Amino acid sequence: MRITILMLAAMLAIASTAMASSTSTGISRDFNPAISANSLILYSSGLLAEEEGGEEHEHNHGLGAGLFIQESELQLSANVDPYSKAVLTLAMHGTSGIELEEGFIQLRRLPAQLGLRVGTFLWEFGKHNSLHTHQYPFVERPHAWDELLGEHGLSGVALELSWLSPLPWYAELSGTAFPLNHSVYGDHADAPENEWGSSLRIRQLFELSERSTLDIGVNWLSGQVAHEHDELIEKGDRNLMAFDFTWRWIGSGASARQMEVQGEWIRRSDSLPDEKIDHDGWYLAAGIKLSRRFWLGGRHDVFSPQVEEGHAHSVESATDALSLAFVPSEFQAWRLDLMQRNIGDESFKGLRLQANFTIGSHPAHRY
Amino acid sequence: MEIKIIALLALLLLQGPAYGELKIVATLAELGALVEEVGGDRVSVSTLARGDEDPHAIAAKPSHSRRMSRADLLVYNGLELEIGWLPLLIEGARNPRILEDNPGHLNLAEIIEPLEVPIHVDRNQGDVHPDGNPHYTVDPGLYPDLARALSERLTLLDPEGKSHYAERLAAFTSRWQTHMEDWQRRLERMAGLNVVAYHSQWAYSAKRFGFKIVDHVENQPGIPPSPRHIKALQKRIEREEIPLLIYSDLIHPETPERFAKRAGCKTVMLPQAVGSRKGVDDLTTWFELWVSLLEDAMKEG
Repeated sequence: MRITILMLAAMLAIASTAMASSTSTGISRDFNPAISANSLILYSSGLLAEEEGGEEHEHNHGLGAGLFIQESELQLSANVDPYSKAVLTLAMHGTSGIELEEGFIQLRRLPAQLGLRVGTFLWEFGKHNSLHTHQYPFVERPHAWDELLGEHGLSGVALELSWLSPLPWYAELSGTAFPLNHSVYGDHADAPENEWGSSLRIRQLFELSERSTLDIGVNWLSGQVAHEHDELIEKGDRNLMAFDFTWRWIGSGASARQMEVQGEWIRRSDSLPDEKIDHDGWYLAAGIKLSRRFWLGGRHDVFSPQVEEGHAHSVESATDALSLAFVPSEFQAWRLDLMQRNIGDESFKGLRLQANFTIGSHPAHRY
Repeated sequence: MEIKIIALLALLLLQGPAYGELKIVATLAELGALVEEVGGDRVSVSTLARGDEDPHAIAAKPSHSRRMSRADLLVYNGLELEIGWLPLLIEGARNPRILEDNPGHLNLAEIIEPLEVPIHVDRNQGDVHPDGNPHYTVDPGLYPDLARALSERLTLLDPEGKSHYAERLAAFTSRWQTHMEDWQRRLERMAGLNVVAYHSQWAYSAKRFGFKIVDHVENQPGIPPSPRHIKALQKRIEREEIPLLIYSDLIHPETPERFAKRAGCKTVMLPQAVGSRKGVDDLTTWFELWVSLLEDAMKEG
């Protein structure tokens, strides 16, 4: 008995020595969140932006031609307690100004395969919208997405409830509710307060074979919009409908050849007292992993605004991008994108060279 | 019509787990094979990584999450081997039973003594694993301990199957002991032998069978080797007359075979996991082939 107590005391002494992995202030580091930082360094030929009549601020986050810090992100994540997990993502566009890109708490122990998160985050709406800038498969988002969803896409303070169905294939429903005064539709000075918009996404994934999958999503969003006409504000409903698909094939072995084809289509409908305006946008992209370190991809995206009574609400455009990525490790990628944008009868070319690097905890890779 | 849809949704939402056999998800093919050995017909096993896939880089397919959403037990390798994909799948599964610190969450690394635990970690060392080399499943000598831990966990989750699991564990342990004696006898000539490996995945096997891995082609895990390192390694093999280069069938043979030809050493392409090639369907056939290939290389002198 005495020996047991002595052994126990010795074990506790050893354990307490091991636990002394704390700072000099005596505060333990053991519960610090996982931290990772990512930065995107971009060389841009700027041709595309110049030719668009000084709209480079919309497309390049204030960057023209030259060498820039495109964006930096700091992400912290950890379990809060046995019931929930929290994620904070701070983003800096260029070299100044920090914004909270994501900050949410996610419940982990709900019954019936339900999930709940609340805070500010990128909403589940199609494939591209929920990607952080460093996760983009090309240097830039599809141009149509900038036009249809705004510079920051569909994001902001919201509550999301999702449900993984017990069907024999993967089928998930995600519903998001967001206050209009905080959403992308509430940026307008006259946005209604205490009113909510909502979105719904149904995603299904089918295993076509051991190596290939087909991922299909259908999305709806209902919100409000305010248009300015002759210094008068016209309020109306804004609805989005979107469809997305991804076919992916993954080979075997360490180099694991991969191929994928992805497409998305969005229709944005604004119903104002005197008119209904429909804008469409879509893209089709394909990528192939040539070897362990190289990816080659191409994308064609189109923005088709509705033209009414002789005037266009915006300008129709089509953009092609060809991308070659060199990925020496999981923490670093170099991407060269050649782009061509056709606006009406005019054609503009651009080049982007981007360095993408991550330090800190190991990133998890979305499918 | 609306009532029917609501009723269907309610039915799907309220559908509880099916009772009977335990539903088990194992991350690696060899762990799935071990679950089958110990669990027998009281369990149904679903494996996420195929034997011919790189376990570091499995695609986090949502369909994997769906399988995990119904699981009673998740069995995984640990030591951050699955760090790039398993956390996302666990999150997507929304299954409290398999969350950490629950009986349905079994990290088998907790029962082994990790090798090559780095004193200092830095990404400069490549994709290094801070808690130690994660490739312990290539050591056949560890399987009785892994099986015991698994049997205990199955008994905890399914107390009625206690005698079933105990019997299967005893049968497996006895059979495995016979195999181990045979395999160790056949690889006696490997003891003390200097070997070069392609990736740092054979440390546990080397310790078990007494051979020494003196260098790696991929000198930084997960990072393709530089021409400078390749040249230096080639000279070392020639100078020290290192007779053997081992690599897994996950690696395309062209590079190691070309390198070995230049350096003047023999090569053996070892099966990296259960299912990595035809005929390797369970733990026994996996290690039997593994031992045979090395044994043949030794016989050839």
